[in-house]
Amino acid sequence: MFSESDPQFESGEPYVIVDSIGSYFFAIFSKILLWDRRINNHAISEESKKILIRYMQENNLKSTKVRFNQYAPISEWKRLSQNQKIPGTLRYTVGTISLLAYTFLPDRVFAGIIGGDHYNPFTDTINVYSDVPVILIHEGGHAKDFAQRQYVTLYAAIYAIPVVGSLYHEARATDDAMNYFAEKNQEDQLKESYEILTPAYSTYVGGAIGDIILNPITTAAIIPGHIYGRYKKKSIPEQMARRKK
Amino acid sequence: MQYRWIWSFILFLGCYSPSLRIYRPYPDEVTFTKVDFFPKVIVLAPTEFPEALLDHDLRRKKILKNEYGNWESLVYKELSLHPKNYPKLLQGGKIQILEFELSSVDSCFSHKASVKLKAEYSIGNEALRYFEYEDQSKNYNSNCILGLSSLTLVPLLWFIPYLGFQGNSEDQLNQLGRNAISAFFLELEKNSGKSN
Repeated sequence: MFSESDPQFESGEPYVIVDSIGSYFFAIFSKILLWDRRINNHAISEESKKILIRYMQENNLKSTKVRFNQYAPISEWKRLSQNQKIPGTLRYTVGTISLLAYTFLPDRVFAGIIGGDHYNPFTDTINVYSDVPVILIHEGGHAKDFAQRQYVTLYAAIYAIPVVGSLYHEARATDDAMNYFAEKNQEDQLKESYEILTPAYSTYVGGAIGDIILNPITTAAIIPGHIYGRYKKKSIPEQMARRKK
Repeated sequence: MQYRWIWSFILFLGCYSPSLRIYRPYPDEVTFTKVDFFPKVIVLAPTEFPEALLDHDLRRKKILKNEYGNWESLVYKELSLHPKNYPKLLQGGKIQILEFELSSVDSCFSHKASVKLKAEYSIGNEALRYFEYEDQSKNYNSNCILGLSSLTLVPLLWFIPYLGFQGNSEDQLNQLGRNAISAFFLELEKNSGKSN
């Protein structure tokens, strides 16, 4: 499936000007929102890459492509055409829509304002731009979640359900990341999961509430997310002790 | 208003299209192309494993087949991938699965997924050993609650995240099944002379 010319894990060539504009300009809002300067910084360390690679191997995710800070539209369109898990009719309609933004408004530049770290089920590709292991594993969690579904397109369609569509998928991925680090006994990463993934999840809840009352309160909803995440972080020793029982 | 019913129905379908994917997750997984046959290792199971019972609302029962194969496939795959972990077993042995139950039962406002595994095995000329594993997960991930929440919409804001973090019936079945298999293979490794 993958070859030397098309490896499973690929990194984009670093371009200082492009990556700097992406990190210091377009990604500012997302960094403030999640209170972490590494969000969408377009400079993923080797250590972070290894964490995701190991997760992918442990979870038997042999067909999922991972792009570390890479913009590869031609390769993505090829992957779309080759992805047999999705029926052709849907690949070339819904799948096409999913790639148009990637192609013409690349996350490589605009991550934070338009797009960012994400998993595309139509091409079975993880695209990451943040040097934050918990976010990398969260995206890996999406790939793992989709890999376990019999009807991938239907499962992807659930994301589009108004108000609550995204909440289920994001909960699965966040839950998987937290459990992964807990199982590995990595308390520092588990703390970071609560600090970053919990407020990130609350943006989806905020979006859902915003959908209901037609007001953009996503930004305000992140505050309770930060509070709850830090509150849960304090109980990590208790949680780890309960696991060992 | 009508589109909400359609979307809820699609959501139901998403939950009602389960598949069983039980295998042993393993660190540093490597690519493999062929599962070997081990004539000296006999694997017996009472039924075509693993079958799982889904018993949800409206008394709709469904039997699922594991997409990763039956017990023999799972054991031979494990031996093919990690032969160094089973030096004694590869010389000869017998594994008999006495009982394997995997079920997901909805009682409208509660849900219980459970797994029970009983097996006997012998490695070489050693005495017969017995293995037993049981686990269950009780929660509120039921289709009744999902349906009622969909009707009133606002409770979905609580229930969908809850469903996501708990996992639906499919997720729970697969996770319990994998835990059972992992525990069994760990036991086999321990008694097969795996070097650390």
